[in-house]
Amino acid sequence: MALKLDDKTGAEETLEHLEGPNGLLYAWSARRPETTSGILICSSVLGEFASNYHRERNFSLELLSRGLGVVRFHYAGEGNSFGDRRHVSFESMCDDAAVALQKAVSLGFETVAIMGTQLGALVAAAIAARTPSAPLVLWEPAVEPLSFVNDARLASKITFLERSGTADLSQWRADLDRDGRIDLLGHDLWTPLVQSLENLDISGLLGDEVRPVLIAGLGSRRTKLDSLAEDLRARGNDVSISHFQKPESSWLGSGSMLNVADLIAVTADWLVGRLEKR
Amino acid sequence: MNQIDPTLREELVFFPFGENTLAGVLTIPSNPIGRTAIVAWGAGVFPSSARNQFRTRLAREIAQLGYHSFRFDYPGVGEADGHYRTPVLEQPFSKEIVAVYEWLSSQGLVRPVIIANCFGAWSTLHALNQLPDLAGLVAYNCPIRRDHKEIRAEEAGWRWWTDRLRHLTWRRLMNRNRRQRYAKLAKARASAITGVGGTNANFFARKVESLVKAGVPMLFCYGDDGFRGDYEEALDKGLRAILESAGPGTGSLLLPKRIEGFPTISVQNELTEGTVAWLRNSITDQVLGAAGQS
Repeated sequence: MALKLDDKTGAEETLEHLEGPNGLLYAWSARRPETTSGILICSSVLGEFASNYHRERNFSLELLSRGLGVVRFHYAGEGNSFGDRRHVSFESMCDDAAVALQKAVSLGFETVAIMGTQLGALVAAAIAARTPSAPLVLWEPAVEPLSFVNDARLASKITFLERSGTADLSQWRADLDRDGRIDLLGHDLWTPLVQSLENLDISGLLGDEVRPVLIAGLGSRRTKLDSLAEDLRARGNDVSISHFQKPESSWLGSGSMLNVADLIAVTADWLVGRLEKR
Repeated sequence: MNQIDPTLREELVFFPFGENTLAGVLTIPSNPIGRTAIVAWGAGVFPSSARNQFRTRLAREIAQLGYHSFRFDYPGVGEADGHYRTPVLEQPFSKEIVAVYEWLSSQGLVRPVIIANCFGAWSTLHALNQLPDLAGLVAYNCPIRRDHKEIRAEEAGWRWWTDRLRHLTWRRLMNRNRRQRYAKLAKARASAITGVGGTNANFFARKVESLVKAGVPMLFCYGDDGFRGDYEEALDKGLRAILESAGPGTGSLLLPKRIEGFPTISVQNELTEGTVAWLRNSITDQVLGAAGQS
């Protein structure tokens, strides 16, 4: 375990391995001594894991500066965690997130909000369903769970356009059936993850328990996110939605370090407000 | 790819870098051979695991050879403090490389082999005089004399230039960094047209020569993109003779595919296999042979 202490604020950042059912999980947590509430961040995987990393970390540091605690982690088979990526599935991701949630509880967070980014929003919804009335933050949630495959194939086509120009966007399922995996712009995508994501939807995963929900859209699927917000409201949830402009696909990479201060500030304001009410 | 030894352990660390703290992962081999590997990446935005866990898997494969292997984040990336800097050849990350080297030395982990990608390799070349016991260097797609954008500016047609100029606004011109960037591109284009000027083409060869003289084995890996053209040009201008004067542990791995950004799984696998084979043949066997003789 590695520990970093800020002498001025007493804030501490920890890097450690959490014992997960699918292998050791790389986890980062942060809190101040007086912290009693915090958030668990469920990232995405593959290209979306990297493209959101920087903004998730900056968001975490913003929350830390406002006195909230944070737990972030890498799923087994992703990032610096152990585990075999061939076996990554929606279920394994939820199992890993449950371990990270336990970590948040062990840090003394009496109230824990849940956040998910893109594909991680599905995981966050499933974990929130086990955590009654926990505030839920969804950054660019995957309304259509497998849409990331086409996003990645499109980015791949752009990347390799000068060389081949022949990447076929529609062939991926046939390739997956044949080989058991496909190469998504340098990322392994295996059958178990694809199969486990079929037919999932955030509203269904969240269940009947109502809660405050913030949806932050990052540009491309505004109409679908508005429909998700309506659906969640119809089920009794207190839903806020904000749209932000993100310049490019998660899979092309270079926009990942761009300043998203507005996204971070709006999310942090909303979250602090919801946690203070409790 | 090989199965990863389940007995490998990893230590997560924060280590000092000036006023800031950087983060890294030390992979500890089950059967250490007294060698260290620093896996230093380019200046991209991926955290220390890299795309598709390429760097994680590479570090673990290397640890299976008996190396303590270390991967880390540059400032503002992954879990490291500080602000992200876009790469500029004139401002290499050599201080970061030296900070890693010094931290490892303080842990008793010496005689490192550095496996570095792109700007990380360039930064390593700049840090050489502060890495006195470097045992080997593997460089993926190391710049030779110019960066990706300069190559683009030199080789691109009028459409690319028209597009750039279309975005050239008064506001952008008022920004010093952007002004410098435009000036660099214009200079690169002018150099290509006139054949005069250009950036320091001899730096790379000089550094390689110094490593040859120090008896440090090297492996240079290029695809059919990025800096391959500059590498071949440097070979023709004297680098080939320098490399041929080195021992058998020094050479090139040239792949007939794009490697910049490691955009396919096959290129990740081929580079991992090539690196592991080179380490085994050029470093590990000598270390183990010497240990056997003593």
